[in-house]
Amino acid sequence: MELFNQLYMGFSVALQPNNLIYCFLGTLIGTLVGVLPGLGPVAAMSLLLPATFHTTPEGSIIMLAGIYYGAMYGGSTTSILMNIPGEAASIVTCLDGHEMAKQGRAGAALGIAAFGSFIAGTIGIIGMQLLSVPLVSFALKFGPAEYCSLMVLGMVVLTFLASASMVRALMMASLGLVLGCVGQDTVSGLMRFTYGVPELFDGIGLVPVVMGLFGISEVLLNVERVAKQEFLEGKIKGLLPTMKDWAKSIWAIIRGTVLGFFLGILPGGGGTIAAFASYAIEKRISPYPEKFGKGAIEGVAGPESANNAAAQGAFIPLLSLGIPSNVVMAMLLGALIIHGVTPGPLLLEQHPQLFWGVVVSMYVGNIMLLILNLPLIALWVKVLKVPYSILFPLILLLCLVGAYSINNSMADVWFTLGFGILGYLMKKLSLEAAPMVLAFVLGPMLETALRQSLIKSNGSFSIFFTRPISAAFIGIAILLFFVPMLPKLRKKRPGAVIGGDDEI
Amino acid sequence: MRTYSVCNVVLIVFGAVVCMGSVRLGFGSFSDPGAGFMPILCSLFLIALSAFDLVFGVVSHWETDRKDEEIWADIDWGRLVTTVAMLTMYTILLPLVGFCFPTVLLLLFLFRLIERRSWWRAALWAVVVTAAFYLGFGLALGAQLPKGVLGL
Repeated sequence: MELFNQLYMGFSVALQPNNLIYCFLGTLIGTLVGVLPGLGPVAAMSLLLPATFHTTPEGSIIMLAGIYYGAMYGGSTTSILMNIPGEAASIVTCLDGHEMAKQGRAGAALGIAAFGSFIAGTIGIIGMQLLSVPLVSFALKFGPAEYCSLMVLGMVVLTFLASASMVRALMMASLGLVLGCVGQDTVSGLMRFTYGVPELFDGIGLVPVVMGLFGISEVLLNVERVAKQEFLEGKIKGLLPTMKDWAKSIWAIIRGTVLGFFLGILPGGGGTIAAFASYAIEKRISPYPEKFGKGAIEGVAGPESANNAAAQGAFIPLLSLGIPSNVVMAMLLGALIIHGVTPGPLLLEQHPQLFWGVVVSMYVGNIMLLILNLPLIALWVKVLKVPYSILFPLILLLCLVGAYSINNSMADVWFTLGFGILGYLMKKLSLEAAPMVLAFVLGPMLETALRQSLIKSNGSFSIFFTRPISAAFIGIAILLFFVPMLPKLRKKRPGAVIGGDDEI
Repeated sequence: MRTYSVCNVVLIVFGAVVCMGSVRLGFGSFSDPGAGFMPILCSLFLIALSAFDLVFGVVSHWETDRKDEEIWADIDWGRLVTTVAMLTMYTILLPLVGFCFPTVLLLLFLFRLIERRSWWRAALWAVVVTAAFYLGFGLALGAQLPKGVLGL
C-alpha cells in the first residue's frame, strides 16, 4: 500500500506540466549529446546547471537526470551508424552494432538498442524504487567508518575494473586524492595549497577538471591526427526487431539489466564498465562466440541494456547514501546541494516529493526516449551528419564556456585549460583519468569520514575491521587489491580487456 | 619506456613537494588528525606507487607499454603548440573583451588552420557558431557568458 502512496506522490510531482517540460528537455538534450561524439552528459549538465538555479529542486534534478539517461540512449545511434561511440558507455556497441549496420541491419540494431535500453531502464527504476527504502534503513546504520570503507572499496573497484595496470590506476587515484585536498580544511579551517588564490579556497572545481581531462584533451589529440568519418548512407528500415531477433536478445537484455543495475549501484561502477562486462559475459556464454564482432545482435542488446540499467542504479548510492558513484552523480550532488537538499539517508524522509518525483519522472522519461529514438531516428541521423570540423571547435567552446558559467570564474577556465594539457599527456601515456576523477570527487568525503573514524576510535585503525559492515567492505577491497598479483588470475581480470575511458 | 620513467619521476617529485608542504600544515596524531594528515597519506601513497612502477613497471609492462617512438610519432607539433597558444590567448582575452570577439577569432583560427577550410567559409562558420552559441546559451538558456568592455 505504501508503495502505491509513494508512486501516487511521485506521479503528482512528475506529471506537473513544468516538470514534464523539464523531463522532455532533459531527455532531448541528453539524446543530442549522446548522439554527438565527444560530447557527453557532463558538458551539457555543467552548461545547464546555472539555468536550473531558478527552478524548483524537483524540476532541476528531473532535467539533469534526463540528460544522463538520455545520453545512454543516444550514444548507441552513433556507435551503430558511424562506428564511433557517441558516448563512452556505447564504445562496445560499435563492435557488433556497426557490423550489423554494414550488413544492412542498422534498423534492427537501433531498434534492439532502444528497446533494450527501455526495458533495462524501466526494470532499473523498479529496482531503484524497491531497493532504495531498505537501503536507506541499512544506510542509517552507517557511521563514518562504514562510509570510509565503502569509498575505499569504490575506488579499488574502479581501479580493478577499469584499467590494464592496477598500479597506474591507483597512482592516478592517489593524484586525484591529493588534488581533492586543495582548499579549506573542513575540520581546522586551515587553507591547504591555496597560495592565496581566492578561487582555490573552495578547492578545485569538478567541472574544470572533467572538462579539461575529457574534453579539451580529446580536441588536442584530434589536432594531431585527422579522424576518419565513416557514415552509412541509405534509409534506415525495420526498426522493429523480428521475433528471431527478440528470441536471441531477450536473455541478453535481462542479463545485461541485472548486471548493469548492480554495477551501477557500486561506487566506482557505472555505464561504461557495465557495458564491457555484459559484452564479455554474452560472448563467453554464447554458443557461437565467433560471431561476436561480426554482427551478433546479443552484442548490442546486452551492453546497451547494461549501460541503461547502470545509469538508473547509480542514483541509489547518491540518493540513499549521499555518495556519488561517478562524475555525473557528483554533478547531481552539487545541484542538490545548491538547492539546499543534502543527499543521504535522510533525503527520503525530508524530501519525499523530490525523491519519488525524480523516480517516477524516469518512467515518463523512458517513454519519451523510446519515442525520440525510434520514430524520430531520422532527425538524429541528420544531426550525425554534422562534420567533425564543426563539432570539435564546438566541443572546445562548450568546455571553456561551460567551465566559466558554473561560477562566473575565469580561474575555472584556466584550470580547464591546464587539466586539458594534463589529460592530453595522460592519454598519450594511456594513463586513465576515470580513477583520478572519482578519487578527486570522493577525496574530501573520504577525508572527513577517515578523520571522524580515527577520532572516534582514539587513533586505532581497528575500527574499520571490527565493525561488520565496514569489515566486509574493506575485506572485498583488500581481496580485489591482491587478486591482480596472482599470476593465474592476472590475465582473467576484466581490466585486461577493458580500456574504456569516460568522456564529458 | 623513457617517457613512463620520466612520468614516474615527475609524480614522485610532485608527491614529495606535497608531502613537505603538508608537514607544515601539521600531521596531528592518529587520534586527532591535523590538516596535513590526508595530504601526507595520499602523497606518500603516490610516491610509493610511482616508485614501484618506476622500478618494476619497466619489467612488467615491457610488452604492453607503447614505445617512446610510438607515443610521440606523427605529432604535428606546430599545430598542437599553436592550438594551445590560441586557447591561452582566448582565455586571456575573454575577461577583457567579452565572449563574442575572442570566440569568433578562436573559431576562425580552428576552422582555417586546423580544419583547412577556406578563409571566407571559416569566417562564416565562426560568426554563425558564435552567434548561435550566444543566442542559444547566453540569451535563451541564461548561461553566464564572460562580458568584457564591449558587454558582449
